[in-house]
Order: sequence, then C-alpha cells, then structure tokens
Amino acid sequence: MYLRMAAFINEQVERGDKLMKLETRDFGEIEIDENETITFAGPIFGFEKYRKFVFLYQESVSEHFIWLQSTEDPNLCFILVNPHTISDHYQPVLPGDTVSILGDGDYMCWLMASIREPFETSTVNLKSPVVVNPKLHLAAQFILEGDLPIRHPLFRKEEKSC
Amino acid sequence: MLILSRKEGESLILDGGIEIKITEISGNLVRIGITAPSDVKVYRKELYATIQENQTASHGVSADTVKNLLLQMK
Repeated sequence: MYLRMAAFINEQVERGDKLMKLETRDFGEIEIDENETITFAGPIFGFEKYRKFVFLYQESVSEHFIWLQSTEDPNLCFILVNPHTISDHYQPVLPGDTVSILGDGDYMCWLMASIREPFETSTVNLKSPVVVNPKLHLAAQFILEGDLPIRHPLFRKEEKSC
Repeated sequence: MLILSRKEGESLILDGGIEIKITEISGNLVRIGITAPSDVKVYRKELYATIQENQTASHGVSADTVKNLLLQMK
C-alpha cells in the first residue's frame, strides 16, 4: 500500500468497523477507520478549533516523516519529523501537567516542520514539539522551557558539507 | 531597544492606553500586570512565535515537493 497509517497508531487499532472516506490535502481521497484518528487534547497553537487528525506516512518516503492531516479540514495538513533524524541529543523535558493532558503511557515526540524552497532553508521547531500518547490516541503541542530554536535547519549540518 | 528600570508596583504606559505594571519581583521571576483595550492581543513571546511558525508550517508546498525533500534526507 502506497499510503499508510503510521504504524505506531495502526497497531493499536482494530480496523474495519468504522471506515470512512477522508479528503486529504496531498493524497486526494483516502479511506480511514475512525478509530485511527488522534485527538489533540492540547491544541496546535493557532489552530485551536481543529482537534481531530490522522497520522499518515508514505512507505516510499520514510516512516520518520508524518503527514498530520486534519479530518475536519482537507486543506489543513502539517509535516512532522522524527527528532532522531535531526539530532541524537534532543531530549525534551515536558511540562509538569503533561500526564493530566495526555494520560499515562509511552509518549512519542514529533517535530513540526516548515518546508521551504529552496529545501535547504526548511526548518523544524525544537521549541514546540507535538507529543503523542499512542495508547490513548491523544496528542498535544507543548512549548518547552529553555533556549530551544523555533527554526532549526531540517538538514543536518554535516550532511550539507558532503 | 529601550531599557528602563522599574521597581515593584511601578508602571509603564504605552501609547497612552496600555499600562504595564511590575506587580511582583521574586527571585528570577517577575509578575507583570497588563491593562489594555480589549482589542489589544497579549501573548507570551514563545507562544506568539509558535503560532506564527505553525502558520508557516501549515502552508504546504506540494506533496511531491515534500516527498522529494524527504527522499533527499534519507
């Protein structure tokens, strides 16, 4: 299958009983199961009215890059990047109220990417990651304490030089 | 940047209608009270910057463009 639901979500879900069509920004109409949606218990800042999303990835690209597609507005879609593709040292310290928002579980952290042309100018936001609790299908964006860049180069510097 | 010194309880007035008051200083934390007309939006800077960056992030280039970029990164 060309387009897939992110595996970390998919494996939690019995697929098939609540299938629905979803119009997406980048992939046209796809079929999802309502159980595969993620609810933002804390908002994507500036997009407070949009709470339901699906996490999609393309096998031909990588599962480290996620299309965060709104199920409420076909035109609303973000690109998320696995932090480990950027840095081995990114260890976000989440706010104290995280558990009250996302519940207990093993969280996953994703970075919001701003894709620009030329590609080299694309950035990721290290200051405000999207954190997911796959078990409960909850997510939230958090603004971390400390001096973290909102625009960090998407390309690793060492890769640029070769 | 204009830099002014203020003590606890003292204020600044911006543009005749906005008051910024230092209500408490304690250790490395300053509490600030803001009185402004209701149409003046007040944000913590990091929140404002995050909202701006989320706006940028939502302006997608085409899926093929994104895909090409991501393939380059692999």
